[in-house]
Amino acid sequence: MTELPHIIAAGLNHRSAPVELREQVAFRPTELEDALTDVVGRPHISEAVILSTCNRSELYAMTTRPEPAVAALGSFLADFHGLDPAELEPHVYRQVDAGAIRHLFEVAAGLDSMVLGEGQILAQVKQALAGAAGVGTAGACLNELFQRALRLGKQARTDTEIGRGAMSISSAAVDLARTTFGELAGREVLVVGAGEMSRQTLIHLRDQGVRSVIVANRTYDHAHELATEFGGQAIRFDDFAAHLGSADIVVSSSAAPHAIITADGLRPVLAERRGRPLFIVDIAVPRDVEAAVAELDDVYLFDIDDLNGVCDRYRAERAREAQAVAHLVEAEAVRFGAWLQARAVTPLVTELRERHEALCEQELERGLRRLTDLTPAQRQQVERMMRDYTHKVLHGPVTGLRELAAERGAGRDWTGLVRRLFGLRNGPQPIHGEDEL
Amino acid sequence: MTRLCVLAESAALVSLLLAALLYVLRFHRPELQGRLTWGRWGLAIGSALLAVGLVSHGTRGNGPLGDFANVSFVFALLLALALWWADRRAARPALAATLAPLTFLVALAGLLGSSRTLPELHGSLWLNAHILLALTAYACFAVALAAAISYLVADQLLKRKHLERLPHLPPLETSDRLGRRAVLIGWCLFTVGLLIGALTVYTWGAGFDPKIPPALATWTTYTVYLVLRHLHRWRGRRLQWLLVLGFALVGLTFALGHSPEQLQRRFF
Repeated sequence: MTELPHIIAAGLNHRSAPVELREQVAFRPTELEDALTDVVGRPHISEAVILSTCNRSELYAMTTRPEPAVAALGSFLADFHGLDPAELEPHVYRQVDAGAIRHLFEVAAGLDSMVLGEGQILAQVKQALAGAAGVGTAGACLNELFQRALRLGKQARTDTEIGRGAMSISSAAVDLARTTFGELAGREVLVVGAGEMSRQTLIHLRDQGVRSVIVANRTYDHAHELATEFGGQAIRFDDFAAHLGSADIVVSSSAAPHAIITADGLRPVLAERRGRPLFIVDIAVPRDVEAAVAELDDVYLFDIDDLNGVCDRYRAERAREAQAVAHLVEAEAVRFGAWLQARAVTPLVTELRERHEALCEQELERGLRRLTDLTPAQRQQVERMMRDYTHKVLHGPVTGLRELAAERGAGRDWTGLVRRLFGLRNGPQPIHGEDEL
Repeated sequence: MTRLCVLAESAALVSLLLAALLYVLRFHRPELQGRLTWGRWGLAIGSALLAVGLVSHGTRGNGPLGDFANVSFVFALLLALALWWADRRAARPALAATLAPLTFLVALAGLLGSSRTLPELHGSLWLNAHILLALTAYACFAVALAAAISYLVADQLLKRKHLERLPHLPPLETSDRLGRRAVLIGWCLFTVGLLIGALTVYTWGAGFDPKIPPALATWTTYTVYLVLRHLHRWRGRRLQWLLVLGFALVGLTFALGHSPEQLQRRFF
């Protein structure tokens, strides 16, 4: 008796476990091959994919015996990382079938991310599937599940606004700069202060194509280090004002105790600029730029509170969109469930086809033995007719079987009836409950 | 034929009014954008009906530019074309929200304004060319106006930190670039149109036309804009006000052209 497969998932994430524990169960890329081989080597597990990011370590697997297999996944996590299972146990979540499917879809859609709707997870899901495919532990079911998760993740981000808008101070600054300038490629950026915030902002600016960077800092070496990282030019702190005339974007995050850019100081610079917009982001506390600068023509000044406001607005928008994405997840989970159910009757369909094809061949052989006067062309014609007839006779029942399986699951009652009707042997018996998915 | 013409023009006005309302609504309620694509249909249907009206006028012997109603309709059609172009260039609802109401107003002026014919115009290739070039230039200046308004609105939103509406406006630089290009094209056409008009008037020996001073002021304003923008590399908010002033003068010139008294003085 052949048992039918179930999808199971087990793991921990930023909601269930603290970072100290998450970093202990994270899988390094070099460990993945061994880990995947280890998982599929455990009893009842036939396929496996490991999704490991900074916020989650999850295992997805196919099994014919969900209960022991789920337990095996939990013990694998503890064994592989050399942890006490009792310590890990309270933080590990486990899902079977519909729960596991929905969970992966939510992860891919960004609903389960720390930053709602973030897009990086989609690449990580793709990478997880590629890793398992490379080792050969992702079979047809997990491959289909992950492909659907990837498609859903893309759809969620294109059909809804779940992935729209900046979620950090630095990306909000760059977002605002884009609303001012459009394309940022070719813009000149002056960075005052060489701290982490400056660096983060420069990373986002570089992603937008900014190549001309000037960094000023009180400690010249730090300015030089940051400028080198982004292919820019380092200058002495006292010289930064001389570059205000040519810069398009100024990012200021120095640790100065007083304003270093004042309205009076900027007025002569603005005359030189002849109305060219100057975008200033002041992410320093206390502020580097005098508030009166915002009143000057063609100068757009944003401080840390403005940028926080932008992030808050986007967060609220994403939260509103989460509802729409949840509907997408639900619909896709139902579709995949139906696909999986339909797949459960594949052995029955194969058996049905084999049985009829064998009968067809048998009758052909018997008939052709009697029809000795046929030419080779006529024999071929008769063979083709018989085979076409068999395929056509089977088409209706096979489609009906798949539809029935998608609707009701491969229940023992009706598959048994099909077997009796078509005179099949007492072959594979489904173990799915009809309402499992 | 006259009934068909009135019917087509009235339906065109209704259609353009609806299009204008939908485009303005699309700007103010961006979340409805998907449901408001009917604005494009309204504009297309309105333009088609205007074209029917134009053809009807033409077959009555006035020619496509044979009376001032037709001149307005041609201008409205050019504005609709400019709207379509600007919408494609900047893909933001703000530009269309300016140009669509303008298109409706110009078409309305055509229907309510003088319907006197211009017999001398019929057959005068040069005067037809003068009017067509001026109207095309006006359509370009209208795009520049829409870009300038977008710039000024975006500038105020950025200054007042009302950032939620910003994504529905083109970036400042895009508006600036669109305005500059539209003025450059419009200025070239307007200059050629003015030269042709001046030569035609000189050849006919016509007297003083009150439309000439605002037309020259319009040309001067846009010339100053181009000099400042291209030769002196000026940018920014103040330069956008020059585009608003320029189009105010365009409006004045066009309104003077619609005055029946002016028509009588000039042609009869």
